[in-house]
Amino acid sequence: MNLQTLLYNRFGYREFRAGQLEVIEDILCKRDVLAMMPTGTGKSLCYQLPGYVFSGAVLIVSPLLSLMEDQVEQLKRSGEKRAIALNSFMDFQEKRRVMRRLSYYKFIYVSPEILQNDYMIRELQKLSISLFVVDEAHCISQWGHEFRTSYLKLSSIRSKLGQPPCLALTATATPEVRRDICDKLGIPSCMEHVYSVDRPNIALATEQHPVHIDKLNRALELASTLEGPGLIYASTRSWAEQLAEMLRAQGESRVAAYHGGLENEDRLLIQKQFLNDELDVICCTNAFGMGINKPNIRYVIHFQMPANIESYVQEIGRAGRDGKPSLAVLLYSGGDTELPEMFIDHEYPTEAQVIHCASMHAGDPLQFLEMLERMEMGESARRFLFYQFEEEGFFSRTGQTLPETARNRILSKIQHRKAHKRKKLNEMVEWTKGDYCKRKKIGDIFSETSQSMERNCCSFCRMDLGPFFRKEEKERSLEEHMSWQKELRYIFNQESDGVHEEVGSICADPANERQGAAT
Amino acid sequence: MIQKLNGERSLSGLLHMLNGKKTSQTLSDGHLFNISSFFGILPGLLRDEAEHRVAELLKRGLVRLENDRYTITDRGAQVTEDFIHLHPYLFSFDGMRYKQAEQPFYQLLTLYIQSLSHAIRKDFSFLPVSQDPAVLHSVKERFPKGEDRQKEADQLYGEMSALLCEWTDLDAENFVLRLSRHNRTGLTNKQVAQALQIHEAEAQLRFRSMLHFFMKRAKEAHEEYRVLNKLMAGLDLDKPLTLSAQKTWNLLNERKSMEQIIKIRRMKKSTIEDHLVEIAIHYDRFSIDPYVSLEEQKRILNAYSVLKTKKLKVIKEKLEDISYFKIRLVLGKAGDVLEPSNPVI
Ligand SMILES: [Zn+2]
Repeated sequence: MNLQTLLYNRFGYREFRAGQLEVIEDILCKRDVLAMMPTGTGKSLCYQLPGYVFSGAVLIVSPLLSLMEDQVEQLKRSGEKRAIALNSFMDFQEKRRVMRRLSYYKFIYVSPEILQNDYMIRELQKLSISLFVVDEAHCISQWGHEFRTSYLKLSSIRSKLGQPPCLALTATATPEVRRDICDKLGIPSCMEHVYSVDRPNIALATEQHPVHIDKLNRALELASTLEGPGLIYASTRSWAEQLAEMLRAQGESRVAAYHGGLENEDRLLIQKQFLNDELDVICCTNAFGMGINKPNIRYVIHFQMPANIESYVQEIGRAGRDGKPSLAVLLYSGGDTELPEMFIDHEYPTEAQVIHCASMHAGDPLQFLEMLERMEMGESARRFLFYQFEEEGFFSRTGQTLPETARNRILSKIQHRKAHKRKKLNEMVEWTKGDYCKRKKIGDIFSETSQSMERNCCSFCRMDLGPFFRKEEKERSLEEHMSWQKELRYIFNQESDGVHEEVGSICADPANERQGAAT
Repeated sequence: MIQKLNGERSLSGLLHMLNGKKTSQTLSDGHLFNISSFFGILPGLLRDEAEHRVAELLKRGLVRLENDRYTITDRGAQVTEDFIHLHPYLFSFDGMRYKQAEQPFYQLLTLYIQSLSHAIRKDFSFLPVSQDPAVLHSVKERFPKGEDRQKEADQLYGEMSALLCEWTDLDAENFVLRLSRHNRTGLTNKQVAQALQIHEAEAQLRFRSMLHFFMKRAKEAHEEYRVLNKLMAGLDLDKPLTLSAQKTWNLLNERKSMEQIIKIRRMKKSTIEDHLVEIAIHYDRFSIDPYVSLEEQKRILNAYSVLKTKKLKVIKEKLEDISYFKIRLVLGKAGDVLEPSNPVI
């Protein structure tokens, strides 16, 4: 089968994008592959196209629900009905309905958590899985910026499923992390395809401000003068809310805050408003991003820097996916490292907590988890501690406490990781302040060679913000909404016939409406 | 000015609830019913805030504190009455009956409307406002075929405009602006509140009152509100349990043990325990004796009467050997006897 034809028939593209063909050819030869490709360059095609060549199903492990749903939605819109996302949030009945016809599906997206379920594994074993895809594969590495303990079991799960070829996908991973990915996934001799993290159409600006208030003013100034749509990343929910509030106070009405504290429905609405260009700016935490594929984001401002350069590259990578010139601005002022440093500490249990837990007598893992939940510990610290205890065989020795050697191993692991995270944070700070070409330096960190560019490279080389400002002042007045009657008529397409005449007659006396409702 | 009004609103709303909460023993049944409709009206209210508000009410002479119980003064009663008069939408709020159904109902309704609004314009490439597979499935099941879609839209338009017409423009807009349609994504509660320049809590209350009103009316007149009834079919309107707890309750009635239920439903023990607590709160005929010995029940209730708090942590400290689950179960069961159960404080 001609791949080019398949590409056109199934996906409507005439040409492969950089790297896709090489990755796909290796997969079709049933080799294990690690592919690092920047976000927005068509990573998913690398397994979707082979899916149509293989007879069996493609299993895709993905860390985020929104990411999975998004992929499934895209496939469905392109006419592929045999795509499904399985996750632990599914209602039991819903799950059972899907499981009964699991063999119907071609593309099965799963969360790593749901793969811990024996029933799920048994059902998957009944299928023939032709390709095992690990999306956001850096989550498997302790040195990666989004370590997930549930990823560590993927290697053994793959062997339970008959060891199908493995495709590990990531957008950003240093050589160190890439080695770790291959190790942990058990694909030491995989083919590595590494495509540049450099995005030539994104200009990289960093600005240092003496005090926080200057930085704040600058952020507001940029957001109200740059051409949108744009994102402003803040490190806390409260800052995301405050920035949105301040921008609104300045007359920017098409602004919303987005963070993990919002209700799920509200998050969906805001995402969709942004995708449909009904919003110009979103002030967000790092909860925003993964799985949101908006091609025309023109700028990404960081009001606070992320914890490491990988996260930064990933977050600014959401700009300019349409290939048009876009801008990334990192704002920095003294004291900006305090918060990320605190986060690092809170990500792991304290020494006292580890010692306390180690003195417990092993019993039901669920009860142990419940006990952890009652301790003053963040979610990631809890998950970490539970996983480490499990790894040390704590639960298989009922009634016993954790041996001292194991306990010390865990403690030194924590020390080690914290030190590593601090190192990454320092690297981020240095990059922000450093007197060198920002683009080249990112290339160095990822062991690539990136070239400085003639125009709009970075704030060290040459930089002209001019082209990124709005060409004309937009109308600032609040958008008027239609009356509810008009709105309702539009919703149900009642413009053309006479139905709207009735509305007036039903509401003969608006003054009485309140009374009406009260009866 | 608006600020002041807003403060007044939530204050008085709370006042009403406190009124129900602390004096219920002396209230007539009619009153009791009235209070139950405010069940869950302010789910997000924190205790600190509530205490702060009560202190303010005391200062203004709207409530009195006697023997550790708050009662409302004549002036307070007058203020309450005036307030309700100014906010008639509160009459439609019926938390006890619709609290569990309002969310599922709205999810169905908004997705149904969004799909219909696109489908009648032959646009099928929109992003659905819900990602919940159960909701998507329900809408699909109920969705009309091609040629019937505009007819369905006409019918639902008629149903909704008839209902909305009974309300103020503010209430109707507050509802309609949330809906997603062709060419426009719905607004969040916060955005609606900003657009209409009202407080977020007020926007939320008006919205939920409207939902309750929709469900009440639709149920009363099946023929007139055919589409709304179709969407409501299958929602448990009169049962106060969450859907998931309802399933557990059904299994309990089939004489399944807790362990069996955990296996059958493939759920965590802690989840099933939550269900049992929920059931204990709502169903008198559910006996907690198989789960907590009489001796332990006595000790928990004693601890409660000595400590005068429902704070689990405090009680747990006194009763180290008794699990949180047992304490919650006993307090949930005893809820109404100890004091009217109230999810807010
Ligand atoms: Zn440069």
